[in-house]
Amino acid sequence: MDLKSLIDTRRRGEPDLALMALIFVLAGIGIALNYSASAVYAQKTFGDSFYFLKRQLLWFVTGLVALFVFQEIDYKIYKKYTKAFLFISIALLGLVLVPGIGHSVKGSVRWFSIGPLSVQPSEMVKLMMVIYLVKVFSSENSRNHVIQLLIPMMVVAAVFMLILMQPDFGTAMDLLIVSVLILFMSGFPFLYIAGLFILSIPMFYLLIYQVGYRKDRILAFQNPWSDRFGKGYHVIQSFIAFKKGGLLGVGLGFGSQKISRLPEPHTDFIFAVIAEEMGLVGTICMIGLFLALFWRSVVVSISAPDDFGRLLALGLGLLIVVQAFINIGVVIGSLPATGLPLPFISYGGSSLLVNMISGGILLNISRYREAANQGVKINEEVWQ
Amino acid sequence: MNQRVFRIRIFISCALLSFVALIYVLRLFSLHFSDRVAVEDKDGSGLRRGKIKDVNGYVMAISIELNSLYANPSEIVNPSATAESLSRIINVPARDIKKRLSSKKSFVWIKRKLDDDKAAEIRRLGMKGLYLRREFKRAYPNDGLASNLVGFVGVDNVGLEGIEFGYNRVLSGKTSAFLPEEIDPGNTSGKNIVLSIDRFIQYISEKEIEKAVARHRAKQGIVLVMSVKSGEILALAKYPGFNPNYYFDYDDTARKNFSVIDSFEPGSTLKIIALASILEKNPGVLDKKYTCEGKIEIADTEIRCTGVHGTLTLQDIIRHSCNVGMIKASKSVTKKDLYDTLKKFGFGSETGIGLPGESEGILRPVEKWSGLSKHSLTIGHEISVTSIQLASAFSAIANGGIYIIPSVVKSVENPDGTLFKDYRKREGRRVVSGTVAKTLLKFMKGVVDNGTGTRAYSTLYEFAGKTGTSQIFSARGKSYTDRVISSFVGIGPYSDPELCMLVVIDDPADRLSGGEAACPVFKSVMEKVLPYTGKKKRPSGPYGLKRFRQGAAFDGNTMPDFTNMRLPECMRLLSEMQRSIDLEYAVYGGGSVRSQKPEKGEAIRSGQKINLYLSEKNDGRE
Repeated sequence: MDLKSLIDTRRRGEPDLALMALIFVLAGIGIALNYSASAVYAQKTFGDSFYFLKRQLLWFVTGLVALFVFQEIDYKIYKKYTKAFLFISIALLGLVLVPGIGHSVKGSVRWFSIGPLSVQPSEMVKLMMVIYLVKVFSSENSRNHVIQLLIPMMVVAAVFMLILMQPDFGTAMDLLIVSVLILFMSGFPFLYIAGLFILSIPMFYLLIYQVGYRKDRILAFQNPWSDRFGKGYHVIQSFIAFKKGGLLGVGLGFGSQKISRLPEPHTDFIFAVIAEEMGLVGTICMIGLFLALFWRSVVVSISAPDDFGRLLALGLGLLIVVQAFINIGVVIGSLPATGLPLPFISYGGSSLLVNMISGGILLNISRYREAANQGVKINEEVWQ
Repeated sequence: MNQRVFRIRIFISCALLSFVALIYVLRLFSLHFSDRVAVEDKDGSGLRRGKIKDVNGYVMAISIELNSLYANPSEIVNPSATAESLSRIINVPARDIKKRLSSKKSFVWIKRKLDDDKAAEIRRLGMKGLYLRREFKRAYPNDGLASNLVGFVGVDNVGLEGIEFGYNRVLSGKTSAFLPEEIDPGNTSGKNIVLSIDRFIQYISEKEIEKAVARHRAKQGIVLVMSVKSGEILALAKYPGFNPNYYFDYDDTARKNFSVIDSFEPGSTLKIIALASILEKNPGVLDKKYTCEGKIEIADTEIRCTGVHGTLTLQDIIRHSCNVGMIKASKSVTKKDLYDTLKKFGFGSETGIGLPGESEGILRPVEKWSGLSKHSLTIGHEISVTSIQLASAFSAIANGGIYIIPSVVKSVENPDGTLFKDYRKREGRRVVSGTVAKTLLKFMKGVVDNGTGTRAYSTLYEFAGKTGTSQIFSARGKSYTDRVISSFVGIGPYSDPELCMLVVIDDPADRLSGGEAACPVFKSVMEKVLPYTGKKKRPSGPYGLKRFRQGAAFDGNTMPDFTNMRLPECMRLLSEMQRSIDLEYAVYGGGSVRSQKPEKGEAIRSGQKINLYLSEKNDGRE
């Protein structure tokens, strides 16, 4: 591989500026909210209210570099490495489960510790899985549908189970939903997708009702008031944040629910902090921002030059927006509790970095849009 | 990929996501307008949280009311008149008020944080469209005093710890801050809680335990002072404590109420309770003698003693806290009797003091005992007790064998200060006969006078007590560590017991025993607190002469016999001598007197220098 093929500058234009602006706005809001949500907790735990802010800023800068690097790398390159991605994904997930290597927090083994940093491989794995699935489903295939469906779905099932063993039900479900949506987008016949869905019902029954705490969470989600000081406590505290926030919020930094009421206010429940501090308007804007991000990825997708690019742009958009919607759903009590971060906003280095890389790839695809290509051609003619 | 299908599916997925987003937005609206959660305005209106007071009525927790005035301009009938009247009260130009009242909004602040008088005046106006919103702030005027007992409230004025938590319903006048359906409409204001705590005794106790924890670099320490006759807790001190005004700055170790929540192996203090069981069943053992060889083998386990104590009576066993003697004496009691006695004294079950998170400790039923258990229990192992259990049990002994359930809330008052309910009357139950209780008290006096607890000896009052030092069991290593919990539980004054006091020093870095670390705390608290309760001191003047052994008293001219005297006795005799003659003295070593200068019977002149040499070994005297 030579560098020239890696960075093919001849046939591309400017990246989608609206998309870039959206990413920066989201990440910027994330930094501000991170400080607001974590300051009290950080002061109490580490004696330094900037503890999380400093780390998140460092990750933000790293993510920014990643964004600009990846928006230079030709997205078509990834097609060649999907098998490697698959192998790395499964190896990483297997490795994190090995006792002594994986780093356990609150009973879940989701992280690697590298010096002072902890890295959550499942975030990276989701991105690599999306690229793999996009490659498989975007390629024209003469084999019959069952076989084309069977192998990737087995891969998804294996990765799903590995993530579930951590255990991380939220990330596993997120991956599954994104995978099915990519399958759907690729134009696969409905019949097969419906069949897949029906076949998976008994498996979900086992996965949920065989694990006590998952069942509890689901029951608690249906009626948090039935155990409001136990399993329903966090969701109710989150509701109170929404109520306290009112229309416009109490102002950034002035929320009180984040102080020892909301669990992990700077990670999984950061949306509740938004609700209290920025109010109903703030939360609706957040949902709007994520929808807008998805809309830009649809625009990039439609104008992408090849099937791989089209499906990849959509897949990356879905990766971000589905995770965001699961997280928000939990906080507003529409979904049972899981531990998924809110993309770009929640504290967490791996998550932010992967989101920025996804953004970078999306931006890169946008540079090959057909209109832009024509522009380049014209330019080339002028130069000649 | 078929481009037409692809576009249709993009459209479907966009529709799907928009649909989810729409549902979320609807959900946000429903959360926003839901009246089921967080009705903060209603939370504040008309509901003032009750005070927490000490026994003398000094406030330990109070809610400060702040009034904020707002208006709904659409309800105001006459804006100019309203503005005029308000202007006079709140010193804001009528023009400005009128401007706000003419606003098109349905909510405008007029003035925030008004004091009570002005709020009352505005209320008297009785004008339509004007509203006062009460905002309460909980304040703890004594900062950290009795913080572990009083507890604290969270940001929404709901008790999270201590009395604030346990009596939240009484204090707030309702159950919950965010579930209106559970508000009892009959209760509109919170009631006051009067504690049995005396802030003077509490303060002394906190200062002394703080000093001790610092001196011994311990993990934590507590002092529990209990009124023997009523079972009321007069002080419940812990160091490190916390300041409830800034509770969020402290960790759980500081905020936890060790005295009721944590249990520990008591060690030797429990010998007194075991002895109660023995004496109750076999009064004959009082005449028996036991020999201590320094160790004893029970069920293939060697139990060591603190020394080789030789031949001992029961009283000596308690004085020296002899493990071997205790185990031998316990042969005359059955497992069942021992278990029943411990149960009667309140071990293995919650005392019912009514504080949140009370632990019942661990006392296994007889069926689960091993061959070693009975013997371990007599010396305070294989059992886990809370401080409050231990103090209550010893109070029962001091109270002539009548156990009274400990209490910390004296009464509940209505918001206007009138009595709502008095909790003081507590029925007692006999747990041991009066004779046995008296004997045990006498034995415990021996501990302070010349046993393991001499550091609690006071020239002002006579005390009885028992030391305890137990090794900390490491759950991780599944074995005993060399770290200790040192304790002393004492009673004073001896002749008419008034107070029972427990001192626990958890994990002193210097590994000192209960006699060394806890006794001085007991002594200094008691010497300050007993005069305050009005107890008479020992008779002054040439006191205690007859307390000395034959030939050991000072006759005014010749040197008395100090042999075998322990330090407190020496000091007593020396100070006795200083009353009649001018002399200097020096005491070397520790333990009991082995030699003295001048020798016994030598003449003593004014300005005489006396040297006493003490050592520990061969302490099997009397």
